[in-house]
Amino acid sequence: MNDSTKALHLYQPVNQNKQKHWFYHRAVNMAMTGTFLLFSAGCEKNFDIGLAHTEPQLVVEAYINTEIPEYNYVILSKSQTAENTEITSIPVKNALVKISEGSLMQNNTITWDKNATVILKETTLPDVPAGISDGIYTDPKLQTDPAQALRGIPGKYYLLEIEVDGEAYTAVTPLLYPIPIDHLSTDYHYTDKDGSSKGRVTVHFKDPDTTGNYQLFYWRHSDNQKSFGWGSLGTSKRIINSDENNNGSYMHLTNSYGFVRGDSITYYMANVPRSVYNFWDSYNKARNSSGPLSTPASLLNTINGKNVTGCFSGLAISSATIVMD
Amino acid sequence: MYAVNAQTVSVSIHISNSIQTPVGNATVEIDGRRMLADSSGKLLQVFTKGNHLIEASAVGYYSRLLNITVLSDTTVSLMLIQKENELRNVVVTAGKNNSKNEMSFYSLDIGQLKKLPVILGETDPLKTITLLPGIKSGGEAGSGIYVRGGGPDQNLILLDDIPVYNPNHLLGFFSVFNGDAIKSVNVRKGDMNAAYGGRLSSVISIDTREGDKDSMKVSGGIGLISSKLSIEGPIVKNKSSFIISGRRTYIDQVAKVFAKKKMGNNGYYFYDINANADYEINKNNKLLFTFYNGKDKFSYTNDKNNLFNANWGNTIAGLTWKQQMLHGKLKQSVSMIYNAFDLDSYYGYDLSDYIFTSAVSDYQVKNDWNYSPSAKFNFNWGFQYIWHRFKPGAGDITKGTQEFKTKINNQFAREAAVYLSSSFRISRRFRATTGLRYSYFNQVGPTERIVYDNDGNPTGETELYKKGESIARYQYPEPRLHLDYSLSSLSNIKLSYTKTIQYLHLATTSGATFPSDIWIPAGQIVQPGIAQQISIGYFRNTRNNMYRLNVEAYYKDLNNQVEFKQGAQLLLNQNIEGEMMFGKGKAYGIELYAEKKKGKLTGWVGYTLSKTQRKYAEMNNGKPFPYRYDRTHDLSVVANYTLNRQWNFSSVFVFGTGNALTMPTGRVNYNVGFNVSQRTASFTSMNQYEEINNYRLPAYHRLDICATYTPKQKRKKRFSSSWNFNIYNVYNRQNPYFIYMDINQSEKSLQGKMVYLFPITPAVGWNFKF
Repeated sequence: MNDSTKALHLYQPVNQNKQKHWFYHRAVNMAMTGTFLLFSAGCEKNFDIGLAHTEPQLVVEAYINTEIPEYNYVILSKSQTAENTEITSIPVKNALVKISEGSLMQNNTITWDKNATVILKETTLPDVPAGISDGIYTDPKLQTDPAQALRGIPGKYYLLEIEVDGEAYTAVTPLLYPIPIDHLSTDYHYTDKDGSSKGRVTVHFKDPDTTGNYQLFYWRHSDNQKSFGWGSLGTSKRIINSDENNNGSYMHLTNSYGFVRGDSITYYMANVPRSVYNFWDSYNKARNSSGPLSTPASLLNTINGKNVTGCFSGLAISSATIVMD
Repeated sequence: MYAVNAQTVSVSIHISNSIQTPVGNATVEIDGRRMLADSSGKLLQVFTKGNHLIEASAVGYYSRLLNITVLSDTTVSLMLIQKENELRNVVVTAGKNNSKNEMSFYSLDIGQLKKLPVILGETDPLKTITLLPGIKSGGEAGSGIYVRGGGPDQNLILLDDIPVYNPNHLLGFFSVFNGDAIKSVNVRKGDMNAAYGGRLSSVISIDTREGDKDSMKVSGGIGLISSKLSIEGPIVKNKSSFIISGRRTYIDQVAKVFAKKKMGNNGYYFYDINANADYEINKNNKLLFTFYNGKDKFSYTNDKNNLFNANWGNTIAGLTWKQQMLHGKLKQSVSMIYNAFDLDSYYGYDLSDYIFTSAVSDYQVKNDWNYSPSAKFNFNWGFQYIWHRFKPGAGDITKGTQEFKTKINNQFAREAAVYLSSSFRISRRFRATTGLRYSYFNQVGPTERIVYDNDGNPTGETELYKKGESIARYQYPEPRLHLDYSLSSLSNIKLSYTKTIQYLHLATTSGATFPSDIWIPAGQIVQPGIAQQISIGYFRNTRNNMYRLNVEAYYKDLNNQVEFKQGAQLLLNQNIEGEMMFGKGKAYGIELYAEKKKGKLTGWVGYTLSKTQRKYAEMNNGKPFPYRYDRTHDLSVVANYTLNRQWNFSSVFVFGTGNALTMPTGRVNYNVGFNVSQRTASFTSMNQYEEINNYRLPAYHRLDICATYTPKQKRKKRFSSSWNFNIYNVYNRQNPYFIYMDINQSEKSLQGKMVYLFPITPAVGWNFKF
């Protein structure tokens, strides 16, 4: 059994048949709440909720991927009180951030190669004003020797270590093998309200025969060509795909985003372990959890340490490019 | 049929009202011995030859006293006069004997329900019973009932003795019970008779009317959002009758006329059809047939052409044979019952289509016996058997050209119970009722289920079960005890102990009742819920029954309560057992009830001081937390004033501690990206939650008023009508439906918001009958 198979075995335990019906719930919630309000002349007003203040959490957004070395980074920030009207992030500076590579041994333990530990340093992104991009930690070799910069290797494990304000935090993620994209196609063409011709992209791939495969999708096109970070790419994290009901099938997933004719689209499909899938699933729920018909949802933290939340996302990337016809 | 002593005769007593409609379940005292007539107002008794005193009484009627001399078998007809201008007593009681004030029990008749103010003029028994102490509603727009700290799925809601799985229309905004079809509502919030089981917290029994056996009658009503029509009459005069009642909302039709552009193709309506028929085979045998069908139909399209269609509803049917023997001392009934709830829905979202269906259905047979040899002894025994079929869901999802088909395996279960209950007078002051119910539950194949390890995690294996093969089996004794000690002819102390088992759990994660909520049977992982309740009460009647005072204290212990893990997928999840968490709960409180039952001004004040907690190892760091509907203070004041024969006024005031709510303890920014050309950062700002139900909504309070005008009925004219004027929320209290933090990502601003549903809301309705 190779490392990647072991990784699958260890981190993606069993097909738990979690078909995503978030859309359905959302539709029911929205439609019925709307009907309620319509029928009952319901009203809304500003309200001083008066929530209790709690100790800020460390928020960790960390990535290791197989394809784009620049996108292996860690962003550290502090959470705010729920009623703070200041939405901007509070960056965490002067942290010690390290990433080590490891291998899964026969006895199911991971041996870390501490000699190759990479220490990430705070980075100022070109053209982005200091202050806005504070709290980002990347491999310094990206500036000095990009070819040798940190790059994820499929089948390996990665250990994230953070020390800040006297506290230590750790997280581990495996990097699975990428699932190849067979090809992209364009279809579902339409004319948008502004008169522009648009179409949709469908990604075609063969789901592995093993159950418990999960993918996130990102894309880069003209709108986000000059941006940085996974959060700036187009993303269909909502359509996190699980193969619960289609194990081993040939998949054809159409992205609902409308791409302008002539646009060049690079599609990234990230094969992720269950823990990362769970985190981004909770992210989708957390960003929509309000109202009487939903359950409050928090991020499903994968970071070890005191008063911390976030995820160390191992993304095994395959990519393809197509021009919208 | 049975030998009668030469010194005794058989007397059949028929109790009816002024329009010859039988008065069911009337109380009959024969020479001071109290008994109940059956649902058709009949009672067969053995008398010694000679003089006897018979007193008949019923809720909403003046009692009637008759001195008779009987020398041979005969029939005695007693006509009761309705108290048109008086709010009926809440408890079925007559005379001075205070022992008739049953513990943890309330009964309301439809006359009383119809006179109380209600939202949009829709008479709703489930809403009205929340005005009684210990029974709480989930909030403004929910007919979820929470009895003494129990959940909404812990109430056995019966329509003519048939369980109703989903008693709500439109997420609980209305109940499925049409006010025109029902006769009475009985609520038992503890001290449960051994004949009842299968739910932990209460029995809410709604009885529908029987048709008029004498002549055809039509009645109906036109309200703000719905209209109702009932037709009843004899099939065979004085022997057999029928009644059919229908109700439909028409706000969808009104909106199409007045707000066509705004409504577009959107629409929502629901309907209910109730039908009853009865046939009196002879004086000892009777057949009763009950049918109900109700549906919600919902369609919604937004400007992005997202389409949502859903139909859901209940269907129930039951046939009952009632028989009495030994001159009415021995009675039995046999019922065959079918009840089902199903949902069909379709959702189209841009490139995606979702079809989702689910259902639950039961076939039930039950047999109940009652033997009452004298006023000192009373015995009940019987059995019931239910075959459950659960269809947790089937879905067909299309995303672009990709199709996902899912079908969750059906589940099957057998539920059975036998019971024996006896009531006996130990002394002149002391009466005891003991009961034992023995229940059994067996989930069986055919199905394919996931295998879990000892920690409850799926192993990846599945196992196949053949048809009828046992998957999980449970059986429990459920003892019941009731002690009643009379301090005097006017006051009693009562004590009760009740153990109840519930083998079905409702899978829901929200505060509202969704049609997509799924009933889950006890299985290898899912344990049945267990409740034990002890209550003690003091009951007193004063001033010749003008006033009634109850004080009850209770403590309820709950085990195997169910919650779902954060983000649990309830729909189309074969592994739903793995998403469940099991915990404990407890509830305790004191309930006060003071009622004025006679005079022009009648009504009651109900107050509850209570606490309800839940405790789960995986939630709130294992610490206890308040149940969502923990309500420290709950007050209801109900008043009715009869000005004259034409005008009646009533008013309701309610006050309750705000519901407990989980509110954020912090906010995080995530999924950060940088737009280099615009020199900005983008991210998603989200709430974080740590403690469960750590916040209280503002107190809920409201005042409603109602006036009923009944024009003078013309002599010799059958037609009569009445007008009903309601004002809901008179002083325009803005009671929160929900609150939330509104995070405006683009403007980077944040504001607390409160949504409230009903400002001051007037309604008018017109009812008629002929």
